[in-house]
Amino acid sequence: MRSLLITLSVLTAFTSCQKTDLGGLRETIYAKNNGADMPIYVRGNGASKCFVILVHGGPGGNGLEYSVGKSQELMEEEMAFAYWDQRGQGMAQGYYTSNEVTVSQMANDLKAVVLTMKAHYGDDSKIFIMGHSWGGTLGTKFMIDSNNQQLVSGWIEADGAHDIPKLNIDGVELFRKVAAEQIAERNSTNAWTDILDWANDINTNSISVAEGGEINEKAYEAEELLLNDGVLASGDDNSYAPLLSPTNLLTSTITGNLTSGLLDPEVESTSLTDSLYKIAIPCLFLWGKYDFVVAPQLGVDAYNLVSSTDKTLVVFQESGHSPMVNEPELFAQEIIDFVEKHK
Amino acid sequence: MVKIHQLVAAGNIGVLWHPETSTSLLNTYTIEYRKTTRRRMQYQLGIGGAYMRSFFPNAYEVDQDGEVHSRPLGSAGYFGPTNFIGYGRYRIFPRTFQWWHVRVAGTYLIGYNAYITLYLTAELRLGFHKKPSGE
Repeated sequence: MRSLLITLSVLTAFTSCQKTDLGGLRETIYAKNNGADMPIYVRGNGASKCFVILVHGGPGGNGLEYSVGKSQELMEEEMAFAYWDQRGQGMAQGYYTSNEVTVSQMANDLKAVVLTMKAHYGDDSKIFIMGHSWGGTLGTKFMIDSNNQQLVSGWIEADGAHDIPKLNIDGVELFRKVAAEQIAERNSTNAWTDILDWANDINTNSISVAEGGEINEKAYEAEELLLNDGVLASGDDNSYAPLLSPTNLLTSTITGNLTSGLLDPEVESTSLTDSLYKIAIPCLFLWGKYDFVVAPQLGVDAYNLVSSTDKTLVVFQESGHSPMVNEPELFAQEIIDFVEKHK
Repeated sequence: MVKIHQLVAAGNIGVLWHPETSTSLLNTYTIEYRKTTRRRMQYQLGIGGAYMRSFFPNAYEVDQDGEVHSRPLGSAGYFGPTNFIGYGRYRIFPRTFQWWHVRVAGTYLIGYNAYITLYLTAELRLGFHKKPSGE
């Protein structure tokens, strides 16, 4: 038994993989909270003592999906990124019940991640939170709960879905507007005519869950058309990324889909717009002009409704749902400037 | 040479390791049926139980009061049924390289992330024996 414990200690020591030079930090820490064991992959300039916790999209995604590409390369030179795998997603493990897979519990997990980062890197560390897509729902929920926002130095919402019922309505309106523009420009006319007909058939006063799914699918089709017609910047090609990631694709896909299935009924009705006024810390809202998944109107709402006196909204003119992919340099620069100002 | 049918009780322990994630010990205890053909090809089927324990580097636990505690050997464990199919070659007479086979196993970890999660493993297993004396 003793030799087994020694062997395990040696193995665990090997897995920590910490560099003594925090400038090129690359280590994994785990946060255990209410049954879940969640990895946080920390990479970048740790010596800056500035850490951006990346709240990934989905539900069903994983943190390391965001760790590749030009934008991350640029940002990790200036600060460190903490790519967190949320409960039931990526390589997160743990033993808990399905009742503990809720938006509130996951916002509480984010608080645990913030506290863990401070325990590991010191209370003098500056923590920022950046949520993309579904990560915007979770990040906003964290910000409006109790005094959580006092734990962090800033909130970055990138195409964040803080109001799912509203994003469907705004998404349909964006489809109608952009389809008309693209038809007038004679870009992919047949495809945009189909999209316009489809969008005109949707009654925005009562969008069903099935239609919500359809809007999401059409959004990516529309982005593809805009990309092919040169309206969107081609940016980074990160399609190879999953092959280089330590995330086990099979396990991640199985648990991610199950978690998404459990969360979906709650997520589909989650609307946090009325609580945005509670956010008073510095905020940066980053949106793609052609984001049909989470229309830029949500970014405008967030900018107008938070109580923060220090707030910025940037709409990237050649981006869709992921401006960090379409316009990586501009995206990175906005975040570098924001962190520099508020660290 | 005749066909051989075997029923074998077996225990296995394996390590799943990646420098940037967790380290897991996967133990399986199986009843295996093995059929060796006249051409010495072997087919295998097995069923049994498994226990996986994962160990996490740099682990911290946050309690109900928001206090953070370091957990140097933080871990989680899961039980579950397992089954596998295998195919390979078995040399009946003593050889240094006695056998090889490929196995695909599915372990159903109960409670892993609140569900029963399928954990697939593929194994190439090689059997070496001490070279028999007199050869």
